[in-house]
Formats: sequence, C-alpha cells, structure tokens
Amino acid sequence: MNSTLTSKPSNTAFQLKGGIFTLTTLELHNSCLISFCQQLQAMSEKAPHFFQQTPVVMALETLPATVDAPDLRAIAGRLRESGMILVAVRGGEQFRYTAESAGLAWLPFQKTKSEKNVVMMQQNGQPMPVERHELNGTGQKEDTSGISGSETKIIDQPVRSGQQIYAPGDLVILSQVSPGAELLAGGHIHVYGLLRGRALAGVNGDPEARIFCHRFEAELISISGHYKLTGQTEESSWSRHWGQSVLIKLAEDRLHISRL
Amino acid sequence: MARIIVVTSGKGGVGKTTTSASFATGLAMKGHRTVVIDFDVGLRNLDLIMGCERRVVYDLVNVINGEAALHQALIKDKHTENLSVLPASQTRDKEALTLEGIEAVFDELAKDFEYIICDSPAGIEHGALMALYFADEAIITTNPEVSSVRDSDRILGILQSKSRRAEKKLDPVKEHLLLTRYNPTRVEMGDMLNVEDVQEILAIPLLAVVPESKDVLKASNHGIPVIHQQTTDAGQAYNDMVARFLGAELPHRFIEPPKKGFFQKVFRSRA
Ligand SMILES: Nc1ncnc2c1ncn2[C@@H]1O[C@H](COP(=O)(O)OP(=O)(O)O)[C@@H](O)[C@H]1O
Ligand SMILES: [Mg+2]
Repeated sequence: MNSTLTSKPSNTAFQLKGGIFTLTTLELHNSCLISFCQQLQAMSEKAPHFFQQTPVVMALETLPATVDAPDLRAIAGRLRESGMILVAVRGGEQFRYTAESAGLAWLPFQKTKSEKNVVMMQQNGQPMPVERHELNGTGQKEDTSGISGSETKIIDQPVRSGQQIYAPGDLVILSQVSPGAELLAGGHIHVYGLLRGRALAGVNGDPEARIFCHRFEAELISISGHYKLTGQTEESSWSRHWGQSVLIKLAEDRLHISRL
Repeated sequence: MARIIVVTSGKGGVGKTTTSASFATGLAMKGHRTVVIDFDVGLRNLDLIMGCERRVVYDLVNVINGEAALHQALIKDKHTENLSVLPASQTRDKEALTLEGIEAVFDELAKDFEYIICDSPAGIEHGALMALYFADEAIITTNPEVSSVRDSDRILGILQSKSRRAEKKLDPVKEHLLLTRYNPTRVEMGDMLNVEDVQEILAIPLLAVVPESKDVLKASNHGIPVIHQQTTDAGQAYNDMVARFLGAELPHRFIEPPKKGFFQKVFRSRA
C-alpha cells in the first residue's frame, strides 16, 4: 500500500512514499531507569546478538497515568548499546513534548491486534525479535490470505534446512524437521517425526500454545516469544529429554518440558 | 517420455560430475539412449571426465541462444553407444541459462533420448536452480560429512518448493541418495558419518554407496568414466547404482571396511 506524494522520479532528487513496516514495540511498565537497565542487561546477557540494528517503538500508553516522565534520552542510549534503535514513542499524550525534545517521533496509540513480540531466527542462526514474518526464498509456498487464525496446517513432507513453514493457526508436521529448518505457528505445533530444527509456537502472543514432538532434538524452542536455545549439552531437564517424546509449554513465563 | 534426472548436491567437490559421467554411461551401456548435459557453465568439467574435450565446438549456451543447432552441439561418445554429451561453455556465465531456453532444448532432446542427465553446478544459486527445475528425479550426491549432508538437505527443500513439479503441483521429484567418497575405515574410526546417520538425517531412499577410491581420479585423468573399469570398487558401485535405478534389487556393498589380511590379524591378536 504505497501512496506517492511526488511524481516523476526522473528529474527529482527524491520521492516520498507511504509504507507499512513491522516494528518491535517495547512496552514500558514504569519509568524507573534502574530497573529498565537491569532487565535490559539480563536480556542481552542471555542473547548477546539478539538485537542488531533493530528499530524499536516504545509504547508509553502502558505507563500508569501518574508516573514521572521517563528519561527518554537515557533509555534511547541504553537501547542503542544493546543494538536497538529507538525511532519513536507511542501513546502517552503527556510525554509528547518529552519525545520531541529527545529527537523522537511521536505516534498516537491505536489498538492493533497482533502486537506481541515474537522470537524469530535469522538465516545466520541469530535470534531476532519481530512481530510477524514473511516466508523466505527457499521456503514452502505460503498462503495466508483469508485464513482464520484457527485453521490447522498439515505438512506431510520433511521440512528441510533453510525452509520456513508458517501457520496462522496450528501446525502439524507428519515428517521430520531438519536442523536449520524453522516452524512458526500462531497456535500449537505438533511434530510426529524427529524435530531437529526450530519450533516457535504462539507467535502472535498466545501463551497457551504448546509444542508436541515425537522425538525432541530441537535447536530452538519458543512459545509466545519466550525462547530457549535447546541444542545445548549441559545437563538440564532439556538435555534429559533429548531424543524423547515430549510436550513443551509455558507456565509462569518459563518454558517447561515434560515427557509425553 | 524422456526422464529428466538431475545430479545435485548443494556442496561442491562431492562427486556430481564423476557420478553424472558414470551414471549416464551405465544407462547407455544397458541400451538406453542417454544424454548427459553439463550445467556447470563457466567451469566445464564433464567433457574432460568423458574424454571428449577436444571435440567440443558448440555448447549448451550456444544452443539456447540459437547460435548453433542442437545436433551440432551434441557429442557422440566414442566408447559407448547410445550416449551423447552436451557440454557447457567455458566463456559464459550461468546467467546465460534461461528456463525457456532449457525447456526448448529438453523438448528437442526428449524426441531422441530416454534419459536426460543434468550435471548440476554447486550452490543453490541460478545455475543449480536451472539444472534442477525440470527434473523428474534427483540423485542427491552426498559425502559422509555434516556440511555435505546439510547442503543436501537444503537442496531437497529446494526440489520440494522450487522445481517445476513443485510449482505445478505435480507428483514430487523422485529423490535418490547417492553416498559417495565413502571411506568405511574412517567411518569406523568416527571421523565420518555412517550410512545410517546420513539416511536418518536426509530420510530418502539410498540408491548406492560409492567408496572413496584412487581409481576415480585415475579414470578422470584418462577421460574414461570409472564405470568402465569393472575391476575397481568404484566402477562396481556405479554399476550397482545403475542396476538399482533400473529396478534391480541388490544388497548394498562397500559399507564395511576391507577385510584385514592374515598378517594384520595375527598382529592385531598379539597386540
Ligand atoms: N569416489 C571417489 N573417490 C575418490 N575421489 C573422488 C570420488 N568421487 C569424486 N572424487 C574426486 O573428487 C573431486 C570432485 O569430484 P567431482 O565429480 O568433480 O565433484 P563435483 O562435480 O561435485 O564438484 C574430483 O577430484 C574427483 O576425482
Ligand atoms: Mg562438477
């Protein structure tokens, strides 16, 4: 959906176009800089390359009405150190001027439906946050047009390295998922073969989504944005379930694995 | 109907050209009219291994561009009846290949040949996509090492999503695993993946295991596909491959390390 504001590209220096982008939203829950920095640091320690030149919009409508104005310059600086680039703030009409003086764009708050952060893996194996994604070049043919969120997609072939499968609803894989392959589903994911790639369930923010697999040897597991790199060797409940038939769910903001 | 078979791998140097040459030769020796096409535009290897490099005048790109007729570019093999080679150009790049051009060449070849064997370049870029697009079957050429297996897996994904059969929602491309440069001794030492490992990861039927063998390089240097040398392991392995491809049921060979000689056994037991 592009609307052209100037015409004839031939003899002009630039052209303005409207575009729709998908951005990561950071919801601020309080304006305490210390707790903000602590959480940010903990996050970047867990996944140092999680954010790389990632544009971020900070949502302020989630702040309590009576709170002090957040120090947007300081926050922008800290985000920058973690690889995130704060481009705008959204909501919190009372902070509009604060945003402007920090050199940030201000956007009005609008209720949108799919605003949960999702973890997605890039080709190079680094996790990055996005809110939705497009299938990449080598991926399976995709048809999301007009599919309701509850529809189940069934794949009866192996999902190979470099392929990405997305289902708005549940995703059922009857065969194996190779290392380097990626499954994304708005709902649950079932894998009836060997799961060696990455499985991300509840990508639109459904914390009730679960992952079931017949043989668990996954590289990465994620539910509703909570992810875990599982191809690890150290002794844990995850390594003890290696190669087994398992169920993975989210409870109290943590991923849990159990034998099926 | 001619069958189009691509020999592909993703990774380079795994033995695609060696396999294309022996496989095509083997089919022709069994009486099937076969043409083998070099899609590795810019490198041109197949004609060397087939021993016809001095007879190359026109190539695949010339034919696609209408600079030569197909029959002018086709080279009849000197050793084997029923076999022709369509060489690649050394001076062009892979971008010269177009789907329309290739389709026209295949349509014409299909009138004269039963099997069209396509020797793919390495990678997953344009040249490799051109080589696999029209395939009915694919020989997934793989070495028993992790990087090769991973690339084969990738190519299988591409066959499932980007080939003509996938795009037109026809029956999928028939996949065969060819495990080559297999060294049972090194597999036993744990330096290389074994047959079961590779099969488990790729999950496609095993067509043949070709052992690592010095005879392959010797044969290439003489411009004679190794399948002609039936005293060699590699030659026999390719013979089995062709027979199985044509429907024979043969047990797999060359998977175990060579039997130890009497003296080695004696030394072993004393050590
Ligand atoms: N079974 C084998 N044993 C030993 N060497 C082999 C074998 N198969 C191929 N080679 C060697 O590996 C190299 C690459 O083979 P080639 O067929 O050109 O691979 P590709 O076409 O996949 O690049 C060549 O030097 C060839 O002689
Ligand atoms: Mg080659």
